[in-house]
Amino acid sequence: MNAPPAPDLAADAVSRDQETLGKAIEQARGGEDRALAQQVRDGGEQTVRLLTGLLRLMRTHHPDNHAFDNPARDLAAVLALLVDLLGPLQLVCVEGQLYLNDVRVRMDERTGGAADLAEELQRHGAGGLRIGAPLDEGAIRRLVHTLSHKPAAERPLTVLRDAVRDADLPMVSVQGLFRLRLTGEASPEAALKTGPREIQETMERSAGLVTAAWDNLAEARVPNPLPVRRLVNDIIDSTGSSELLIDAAQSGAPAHAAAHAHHSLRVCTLAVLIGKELGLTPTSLADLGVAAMFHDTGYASREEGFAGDVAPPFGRHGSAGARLLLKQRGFHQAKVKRLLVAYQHHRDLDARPSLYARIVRVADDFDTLTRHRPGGAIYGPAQALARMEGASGTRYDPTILQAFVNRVGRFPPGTMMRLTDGRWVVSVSGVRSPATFARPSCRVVRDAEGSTVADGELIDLAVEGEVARVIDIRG
Amino acid sequence: METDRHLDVTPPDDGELRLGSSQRGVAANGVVLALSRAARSFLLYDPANAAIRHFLNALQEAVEGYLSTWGDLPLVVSPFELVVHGEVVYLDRDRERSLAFRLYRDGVRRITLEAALTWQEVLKLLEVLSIRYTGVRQAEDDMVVLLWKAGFTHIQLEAVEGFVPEEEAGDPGALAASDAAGGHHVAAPPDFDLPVPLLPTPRRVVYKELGIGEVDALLAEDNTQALPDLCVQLCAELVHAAADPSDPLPLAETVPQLREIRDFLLSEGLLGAVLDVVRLLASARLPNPADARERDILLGSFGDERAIGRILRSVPRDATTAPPDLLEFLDLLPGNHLKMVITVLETEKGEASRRVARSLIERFVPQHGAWILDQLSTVEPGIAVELLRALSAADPELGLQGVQAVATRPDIELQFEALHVLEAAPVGPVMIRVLLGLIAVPTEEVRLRALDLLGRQAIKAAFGPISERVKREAPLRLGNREAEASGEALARCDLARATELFREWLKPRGFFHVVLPGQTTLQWVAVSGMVFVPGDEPEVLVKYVAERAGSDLARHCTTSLVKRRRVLRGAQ
Repeated sequence: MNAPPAPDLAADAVSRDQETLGKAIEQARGGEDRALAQQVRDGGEQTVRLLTGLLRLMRTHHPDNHAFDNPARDLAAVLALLVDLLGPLQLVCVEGQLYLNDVRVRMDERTGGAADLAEELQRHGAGGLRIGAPLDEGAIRRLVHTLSHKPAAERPLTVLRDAVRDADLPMVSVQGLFRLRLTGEASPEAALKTGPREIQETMERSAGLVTAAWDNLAEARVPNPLPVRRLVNDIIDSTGSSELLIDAAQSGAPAHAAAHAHHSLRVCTLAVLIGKELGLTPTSLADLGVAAMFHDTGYASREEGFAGDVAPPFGRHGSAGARLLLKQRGFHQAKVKRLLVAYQHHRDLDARPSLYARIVRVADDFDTLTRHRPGGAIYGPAQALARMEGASGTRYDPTILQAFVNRVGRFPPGTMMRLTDGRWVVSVSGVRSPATFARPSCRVVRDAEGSTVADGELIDLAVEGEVARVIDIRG
Repeated sequence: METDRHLDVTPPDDGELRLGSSQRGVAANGVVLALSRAARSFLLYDPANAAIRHFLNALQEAVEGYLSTWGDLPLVVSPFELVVHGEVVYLDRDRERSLAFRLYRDGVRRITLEAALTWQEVLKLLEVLSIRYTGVRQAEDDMVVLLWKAGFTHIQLEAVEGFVPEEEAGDPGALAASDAAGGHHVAAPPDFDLPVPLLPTPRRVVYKELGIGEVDALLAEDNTQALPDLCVQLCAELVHAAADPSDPLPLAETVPQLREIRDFLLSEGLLGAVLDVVRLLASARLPNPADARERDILLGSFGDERAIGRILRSVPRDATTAPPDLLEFLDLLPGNHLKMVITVLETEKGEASRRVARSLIERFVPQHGAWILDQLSTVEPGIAVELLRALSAADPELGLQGVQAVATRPDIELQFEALHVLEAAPVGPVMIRVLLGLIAVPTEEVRLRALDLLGRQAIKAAFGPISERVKREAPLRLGNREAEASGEALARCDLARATELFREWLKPRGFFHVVLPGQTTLQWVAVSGMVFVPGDEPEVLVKYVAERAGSDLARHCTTSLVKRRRVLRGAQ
């Protein structure tokens, strides 16, 4: 370690260290929502205790026995409270610990609970339960009865899942065993090795998470940014290079994901790409990515309209989003920045939007302009970028837009081009070096004779081919 | 702060065993014990406490010692143990206390401190651990996120980042997806984010290196110094939203956020940003009466005890008066903050803070002088001193009334403050009454200063009470210093009557030279007073006494004669 300073200086330095540590702890306290944390903690413990107790009771009593009345009623009440607070509940048993929506459930080791419930589930090869809506007492009896069945000798998990379905419990799903995922599993090296698969898995998880986050916000629940933050960290880690980030933006969410999930993920990855180009720290990139993920959540809210509840119109979605995000308690700089993004991500430069809002604006508009809609995209990527360039300095922060341009190039991924030899190609890479700014790697989609090519060859325009013109793909 | 000498820095470490069979194991044990104790210490002590300093020093010593001797420290984390190269170097089964359990529970499975580790990194690690030990549960960060954010260069971590299905064919989205069990999903409308922005004529895009200055300017917007500005910006958005007639957001929904920002800015002592927020709130035109009420309550909370205390602590050390920002800040808040400033003074010890608080109180005197006066007889002495000082600085007449109000209080610091005020006050009945009261208080220093002031002001009316007191107290408890001060005061208050009195005390008339009770003390008084009496007689009388007196009085006679010559020369 660095050499210790002289005694007097050392005393001062220690005082400063004390002050820094004290301030960090105070700030952490400021970011806490004690009431919510306590409710989740208590509710989680009660859920596990009651569920375990009911399973034990089932060994000696018939499900209709009155002995079940009180604990089943209590469990129904606790689940209703938790669903109200957290949305769908995810109870996971892993390595002897129990987690409720990622929060470890503290159990008194003397009374057991966690281990007992884990054991009950593992008999069936199950590692978790997902409860999507509150259960009434009858549903709780049926669930406990089903879980108490003797496990099938073969494929016990499938049999249990079928039994849950047969017990008319559509709001409950039984999940397989889980293991903990360690750092390094999604390292850049791993991403480089496994490439798109790793990214696709991250995107898949992200899409599910965005959907769940929107659902929760729509139900007026408190936003829970922590799982989104973990995923954004994953995206940052698994896309160590800008090229992989561009891949991530290109691959986007799985096909079955909702349009808003696609959009959120694309804006997140593009914003992180810009942030990286600007040299933001990993922590800032994560804050930016989470803000981008939540930038359009205003559309999840509902306003009273003629045809029932409707999403707010374009002009109000920013404030509507901020209104949803304001439910989160506890000071955190990421939250401040996120709220500003929600409010300001469509503001022009003269309104002096915050840095993250200006970054998200570029990412957001680019995706909006190039997004595939039922009638086709509004612009191709190259045209969209050229249009945006025309508004540099008025709509867009010129440095931020230039950072984006420098990374995606004149022909951003997805741009359809006709080469001078008559072939049509689609750009698949960003800028690999200043020299390749207008010469991306491309995939041939139509040969010189005009025939469509399935799974066409990859060509590098830095090596061969000249762009004759960009094909207008507007619908 | 406590000094190390008085510290009991033996932490509650009964369950933490001294482990390690090899020398390296023992050293590693020292590191993890020091880390665990330092992290836990924030549960027990204030961060500024000397105990924390002790733990930090111990940690630094242990880490430096290990790394310089043994190199990297790779700790494998299991529920209750930390293992280095197969050797258990830490074991504690107490879940609340165990460092291993904390790390394991929060998902850390392996942590390696590399030989090139810096002290700043150790501190950052300690910060993360301390936050977890203090039981804070943040919505934004868990331990793994905090460690990730720390961006360590010389600490390698292997941590749990979440769950994945164990089965290869498992549904990877099972955890996150709102699957069938979740039922209905909300969706954005098909035309969300439309209409598309109307953009001008396209322009050719070209590669252009980003200017260092431009990028630096952008990055400056992201550093911690920019956070107060962002907070103010967000407040502006929230206030604007409340005032927006087309899309009003009830202020009640934003108040928690505004309070959080207030607390953050206050905790950082950012008075400028706090003032910006207050300005925004105060100037907001809120058409909804409920919002206006909320705003007033919120503004009022900016002037609560904690807020005022924080602001006072944030003033520069050399500040003598309240900075203009602070004055504007208080003026914008509804209600009377005098009470709050007084309450803050009860705990505030900093010199600058107290000075500024006093200058704030002075501002309240024109409107609330009578109220302040009322407080003087009831508030604790330290506060009464400040109030009296402020009162007399702002309005000497009220200051004098204040002196009268505190005159009967037995507190020494208050009596001194009263004397301080009287020093600058014009002679009048109040002053005389108070000073005569002060010559009879138990504290000699106060009596001496009161006598001195009576003498310097040459208050004739004081002669009688002083001489009576001297006669009464001389046989009992009048010490030499007070006797001297009394003599001088008597001479200055009424020279003619004093001379007569001194003559009688120095050389009693009559054949038998009857000795009065407390004669020596009376002579001491007289000798002291004769310093101011012109003519030859005093010298003769003093010498007469000196020849017959004991050594102390004789010495006093000599000193007084010297002093007398000097005084008389000065008078000429």
